[in-house]
Amino acid sequence: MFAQFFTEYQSNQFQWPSGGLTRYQKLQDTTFSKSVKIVSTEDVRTAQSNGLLSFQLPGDTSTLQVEASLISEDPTTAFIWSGKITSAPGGYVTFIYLDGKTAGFIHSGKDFYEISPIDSNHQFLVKRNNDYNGSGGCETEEEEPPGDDDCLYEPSDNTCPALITVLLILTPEAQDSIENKYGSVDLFALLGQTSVNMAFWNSDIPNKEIRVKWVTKDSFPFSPGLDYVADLTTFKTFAEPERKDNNADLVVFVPHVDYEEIGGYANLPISPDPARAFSIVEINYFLNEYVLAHELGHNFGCRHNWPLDYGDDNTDVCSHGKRYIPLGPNPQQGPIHDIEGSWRTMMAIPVDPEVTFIYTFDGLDYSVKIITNEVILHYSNPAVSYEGEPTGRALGKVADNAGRIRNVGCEISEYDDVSELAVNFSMTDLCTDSVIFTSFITAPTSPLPGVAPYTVYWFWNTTGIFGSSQQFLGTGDTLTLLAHPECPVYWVKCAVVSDDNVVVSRIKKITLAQVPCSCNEEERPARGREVPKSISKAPSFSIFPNPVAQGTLFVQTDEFLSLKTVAYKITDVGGREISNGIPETFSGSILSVPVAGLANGLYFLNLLLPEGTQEIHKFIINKTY
Amino acid sequence: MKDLFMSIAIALLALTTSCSKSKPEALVDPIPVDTAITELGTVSVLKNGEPWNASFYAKYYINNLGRFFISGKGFNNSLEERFSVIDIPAKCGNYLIERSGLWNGNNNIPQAGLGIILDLDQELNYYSVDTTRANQYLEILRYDSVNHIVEGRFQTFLEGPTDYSFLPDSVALTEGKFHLKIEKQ
Repeated sequence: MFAQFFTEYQSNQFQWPSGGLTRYQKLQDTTFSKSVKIVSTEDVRTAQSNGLLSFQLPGDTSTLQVEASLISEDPTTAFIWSGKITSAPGGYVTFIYLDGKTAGFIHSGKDFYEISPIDSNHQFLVKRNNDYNGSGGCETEEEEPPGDDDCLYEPSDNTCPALITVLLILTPEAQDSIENKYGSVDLFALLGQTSVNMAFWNSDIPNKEIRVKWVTKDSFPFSPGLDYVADLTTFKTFAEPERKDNNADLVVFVPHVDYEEIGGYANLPISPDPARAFSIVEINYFLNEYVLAHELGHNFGCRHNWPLDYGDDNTDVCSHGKRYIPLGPNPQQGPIHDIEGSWRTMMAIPVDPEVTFIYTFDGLDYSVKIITNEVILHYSNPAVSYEGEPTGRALGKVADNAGRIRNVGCEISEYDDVSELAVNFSMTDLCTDSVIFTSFITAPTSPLPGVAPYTVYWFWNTTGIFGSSQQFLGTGDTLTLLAHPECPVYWVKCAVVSDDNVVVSRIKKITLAQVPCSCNEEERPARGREVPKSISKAPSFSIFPNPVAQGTLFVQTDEFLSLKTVAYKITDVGGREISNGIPETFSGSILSVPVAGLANGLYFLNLLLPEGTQEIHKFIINKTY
Repeated sequence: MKDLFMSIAIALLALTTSCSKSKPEALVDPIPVDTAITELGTVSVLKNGEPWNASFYAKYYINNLGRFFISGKGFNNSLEERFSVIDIPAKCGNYLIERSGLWNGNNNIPQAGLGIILDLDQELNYYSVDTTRANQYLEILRYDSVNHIVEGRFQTFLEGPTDYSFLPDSVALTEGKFHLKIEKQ
């Protein structure tokens, strides 16, 4: 069934919409495309099951398994579903739905595919040409750049919520180019936004998020020699009115021109500075080389990799990227080692696989060539692993881009002092007896819409696809759960409705331990984030229906005789006792518990067993009458 | 022999656009007339008083032989220093250098700037013309419109306050001399 996720069409079997065939031919003609297929893509919202998706790419018999990790309902009304490929060779997948159109990307090992809409039912599936194109300057320099201060490394636990607004300013020609390649600038911008937010998620940078806006502006006075250094300086002045009008914190120039040597160029401030919040990102590298995420990383103060990791920057600061160079067991010093399985984090630079360099490991020098050169959608973080290897380094040549972003994210989000209505939420330690979810509402700056007072609604489900399947938990700025509604993974949605009926929401994935739920450490250490909570054991009873739409909850067990002595207690999510009593026998082994007086929400049925033990079942009241 | 020298001098003048000898506004040194200001293909300049080892080139604007720009690139440790003067008229004269703005890139008044780059795409700082300083000029002494060779000299003072302690807050480029072939784009 999953093979049907993509249905391929031939160009002569297809009823082209206006301009579609021209787009198809242009995509085929560009050197950035390895192949262009016409497909119809199933909607991931219905194709997924509990946040899991399996599919095959056209012409490929291997099945990719994807697990959702980031799902959001964008204020632009877009729906975004992003996940990690959990099957070999690993990678990332994103699907975006906006205005009835589908876009996305699939990064599977060394292959990168872009999905762009043709019409409401069909898409281009473009396999990108990511072959190394020989940019210079990537070889290790002997000389060291001067440093500014020592790397006094302390892991950052800064989890302050930050919504950072990024404004793309396009030339009119760039807008045309993007519309030809991606079908829509809105989708292009959202794909870039998702790549960065996905990297934040993967890198354990909680509560930080970017929101991408875009405008087109003509008459940019390019320098006569297309000097990106001069152009970035000119751009700062050029972008000033749009930055203010769009309340942007960071501003990115997306030109139609192709600068020599680079795919992007950015201010690298030593500390947050709104005057150094600018970058250039070329269209062809924006997404499939994650150059947007890379250049924005520079604006946060993140730097490339150490010479140790085959980079140029030996400055003694903590915020370096990392390249993993698996030398293999018992390496010999003499021969050249072809390094397979190497990867680099977002801020590390690509290398030429033809170049031999000296890699110093455990005090010994080895000749190596980096044959595989894959970028992973991670900022370096010593506490987060990829395929068992830490993506950063806490000792020696410290590499912790994530720590830098954690520390400066909130300050950068305040570059522009005008805020739009935004919501975020946090949760207390998931291993304690009760878990408290707390919403953080950023009120808009007057006269923007979204004014107080606010009503906060909480929902959960197991798929991340809210709407018809969402279960209501309650209202209030905080929500206390005595146990988790689902284990090991569920999703919580916090929706805020303002007095003038502006609605913003935030969805978060709550990841507990592997089944059975316990407080075991996750494979990926996460600072202050989803650690598991023990809530269940093998149940003696089952309850139904759940959710309860009528006035009775039923309890069923095979141990009929013991039922006569069972008592019950019902509590709400705040732990308050709502009712208690002895359940009545409904029929045979089924007991009934009256719940007609309960309002919609999540409750817990506490069954008191004859031997003095208790068993807790959660249930939901969802009256539709 | 004297006549022969005169004939050669006249022939050379015929090949080279005639440059006025009007007194430039900010010059302190006499203008060399018959000898090259520096070797063809080179630029010499002091950066904050020290000789700057950088490679330079000059290019015309696209489809426009009336204007050109000069760009230079050097390395300080592994930091790249990229300097440019744009909007230079391709004719003899002494021109003030002004600060780059949004809409003054086509007014035939040269603008200068210098960027400090770490490892390809990380800009540490950018220095723009310090408008409080006088004596900023670019002078074209000789311009050969047939062979597209230009000779001249320049001086500019750039400012760019920075938090990077290892970078200066200003850059003075003085005693600049250039003798370059201008490439067409």
